[in-house]
Amino acid sequence: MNAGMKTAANTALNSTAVRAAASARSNRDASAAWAFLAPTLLLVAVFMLGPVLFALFASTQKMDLIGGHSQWAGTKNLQYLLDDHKFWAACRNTLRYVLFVVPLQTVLALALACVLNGRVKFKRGFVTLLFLPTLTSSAAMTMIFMWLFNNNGLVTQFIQAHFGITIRFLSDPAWALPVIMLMNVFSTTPHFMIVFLAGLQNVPRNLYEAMELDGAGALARHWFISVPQLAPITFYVVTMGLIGCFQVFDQAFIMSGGDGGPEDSTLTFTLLIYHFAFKTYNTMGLACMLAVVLTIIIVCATSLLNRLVKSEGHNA
Amino acid sequence: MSVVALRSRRPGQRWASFGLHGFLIFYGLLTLTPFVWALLTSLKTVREIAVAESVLPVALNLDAYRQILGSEFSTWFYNSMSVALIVTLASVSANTLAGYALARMRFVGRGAVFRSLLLIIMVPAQVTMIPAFLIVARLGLADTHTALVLTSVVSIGSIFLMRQFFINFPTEIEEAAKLDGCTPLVTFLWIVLPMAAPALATQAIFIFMGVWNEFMKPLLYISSIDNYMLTQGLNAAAKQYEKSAAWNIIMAGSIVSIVPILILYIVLNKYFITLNDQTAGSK
Amino acid sequence: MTLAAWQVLPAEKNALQQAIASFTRSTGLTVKLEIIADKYMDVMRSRFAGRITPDVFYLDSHEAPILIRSGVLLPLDAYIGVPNDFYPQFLDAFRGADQQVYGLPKDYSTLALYINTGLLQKAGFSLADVPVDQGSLMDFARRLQAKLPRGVAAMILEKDLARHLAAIESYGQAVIDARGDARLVGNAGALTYLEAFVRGRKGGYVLSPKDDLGADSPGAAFGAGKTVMMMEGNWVLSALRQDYPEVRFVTREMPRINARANTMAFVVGYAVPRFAKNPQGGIRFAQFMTREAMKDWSRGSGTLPSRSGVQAELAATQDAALAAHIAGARYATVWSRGTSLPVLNTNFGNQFQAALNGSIPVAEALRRAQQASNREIERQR
Repeated sequence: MNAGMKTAANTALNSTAVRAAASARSNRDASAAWAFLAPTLLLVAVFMLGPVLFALFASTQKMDLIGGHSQWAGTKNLQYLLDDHKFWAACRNTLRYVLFVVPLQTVLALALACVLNGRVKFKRGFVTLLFLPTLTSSAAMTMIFMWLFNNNGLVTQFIQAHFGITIRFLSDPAWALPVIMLMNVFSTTPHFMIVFLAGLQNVPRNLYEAMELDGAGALARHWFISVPQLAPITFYVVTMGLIGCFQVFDQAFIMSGGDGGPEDSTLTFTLLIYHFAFKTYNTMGLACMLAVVLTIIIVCATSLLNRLVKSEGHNA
Repeated sequence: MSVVALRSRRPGQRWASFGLHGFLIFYGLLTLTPFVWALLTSLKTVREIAVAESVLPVALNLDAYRQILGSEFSTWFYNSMSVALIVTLASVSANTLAGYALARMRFVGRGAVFRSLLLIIMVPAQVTMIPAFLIVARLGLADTHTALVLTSVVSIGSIFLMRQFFINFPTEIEEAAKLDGCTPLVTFLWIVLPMAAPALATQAIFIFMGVWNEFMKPLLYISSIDNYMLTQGLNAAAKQYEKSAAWNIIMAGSIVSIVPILILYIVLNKYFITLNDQTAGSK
Repeated sequence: MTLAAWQVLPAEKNALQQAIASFTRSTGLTVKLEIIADKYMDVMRSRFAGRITPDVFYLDSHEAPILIRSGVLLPLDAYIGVPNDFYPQFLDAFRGADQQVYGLPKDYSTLALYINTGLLQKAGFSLADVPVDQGSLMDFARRLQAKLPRGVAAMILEKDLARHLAAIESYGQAVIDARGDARLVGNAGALTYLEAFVRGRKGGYVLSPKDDLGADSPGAAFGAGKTVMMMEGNWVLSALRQDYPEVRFVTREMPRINARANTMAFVVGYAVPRFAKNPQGGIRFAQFMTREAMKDWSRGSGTLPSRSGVQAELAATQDAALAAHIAGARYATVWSRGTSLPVLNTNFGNQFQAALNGSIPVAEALRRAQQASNREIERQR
């Protein structure tokens, strides 16, 4: 649309007839939108909303889910949690986990995607290769890492041979969680790399070429074009990264055998929730209260993120 | 574009390209290691794995694969494949529609719907698992594949993904279509959707993978051996002895499970990789 | 009629199918077998919560107290049958607060001491040199380690309370008191017992199979020749015989502690849910398997029968290595102690690991475990 047409259109928009047509269109827009959303919202209402509301209700109860008894507990559940050193251990561990993994996996995925989108030979091969870790189930990946990092494993022996120090990765409280972090970064980075790659497909190539003609290097091109263009996708990656990391379970469970050891160092929020929901008697209410607390923490974290990075990017 | 191509590369650029490729090869080998390890382990006997003398197996032992493929493997494979395909098709459709509505259409309550959906996935699964099972049981869907399908079709993460992708799209083309008098549905189907190929491909792969590798949900919902998904079946096949894991079977199982996802990936990956020599036009 | 089982091992599969077939022949009831591949108790709890339960299911004695306390099982006293030759502690493990029995024991496993005779001889010792009481055994392990090649341990250790409960209680203090609270502190004998292990880990003669030897289970470490001695249950026997046939070993009863024989027993029983669609069918099946069919089941599956009468009949046909395990059934402590035990188990494992690493003394580990457990136990009331 050229400038002349735009002014004509604008003046035309001011007439009431056009305004009426516009409001009719927005009504149609709205009904179309609800129609688009209908199947999703129906399924969500039936299968997802109920359980969430149940969890909210249960958080105020002392509940035995198996026998079907429950009684009012009010804020006792919350009080118990705040007094529990395991709660604070889970808090510390999960926060450490999130603060390390989310930035690392986001930056790494973005960097890899930018690199692989550029002039690289055997592009298809590399992307396929780098995609492989996402394909392994977290259970298999955990076992591999446990094998690598145990006291006679490759990594431990390598460090012993070259640095002379012995680190017992799996039984040392200081190192057990970092091993899980490393494992997580390794297996989720490819997932987000593919997402960024897909996002980069919609970035017009002529933008890059223009900058290159001006003499900008690869780093500058990506910083000034790729990163801003990918802002909405980055928002997705960081949000899903936050949600996923706050809810980390599988790896911590397998590595610690379910007890969150050594010395509560691999105890995460969801591991504690699982413990209360499935392993002890009469504590389903506690599990749900903890779930509510975790949800609130995640909401705060993502709201904070939203202030820093607008989810709408440039093309709102 | 031809001007750039004709330009010869500066020496600094050649070194940088060298280093880059070197890094990619190194990282690529690093990611390949677990797979090679898994493959080698699947060809060993349990004793070899325990003794762990050498990385390579003494002899190519196909026992693990024979055990897996022997039992009701084909039933489980078929179950998983049919559920995964149905869910992928239905899910991609529903999620993309929803994502587009949340990104592009203006209506009252749009922000609230989006935020509520996100809120739902922030609640950890450990507490929603049992109530969800209760609902499935009350609806009479216990031990059915329908239960798996219905509970997997909506993937809020994918709705979120599609929304962000659609937000990134240039708005001019849609506005032009609107002025031409196209209904939202037509605009969506014929104009927006073709542009969304990379996002759709990504979504399809991840949804398929999610359903294919899902373990906890089938474990809860499915009780008859005939209805088992592949994940359950492989887990059952691996339990040779009480309290000890037959690693060769577990690894063989994971290698076998990867094959369909890899095939899907190979089919779809051209949508999110641009090859160097194409003249990708401005969109 | 629906039976729910956890994974059915290949060895047990045939025996179970035959048992089911003969059950159908004698009662006319068909049996639908449900196998829950993993996280058995989690799935069963969900089934109970959803009131969609099988008619009879496998229940581990450790998990029984929670279900009993929730009131979702049917009492089975009337169906124990005559003669009542179940090992008494096995029945007690399934008793509720009202003293009624809620599960019929079907088989059990006990711990025994496994000794690799090949490695022992190579180190210059004979079987007669191996002491029968715990203190001397630890001392022997230290001396043995000096003669062993690199990468081989004298003994391996599992940190779970499940292995050590009987030993800890040999000194007269019950780990869970009458009120249901945890009592670990103030047990000097237990302290000595546990500290010996910590010393052993530090001295390099008692190692952890997973952390130190890179084996993913004690059986794997033993079968691969990485340790001379291990204290393990009879579940490991079929793996040893099949996957590691060249290992020469014998089994001995567990070392005496405080001059008393002791070992742990892990019992599995049949239980019938209250909401089962066909409870009578479930009860009939449980009765059948623990009465008429127990002999055939034990013989076919290689598990140990929970009734001493049946045991007497089968003695000749069993693997010689099982003798030490079976002898333990008379005095074994069953791994089950009400709803407080799972809580104590988690905390003990967590803290004892720290003690084994050397970060805190054993006394402190016990104190912390007791404190954390009692807090959680209070919450359960």
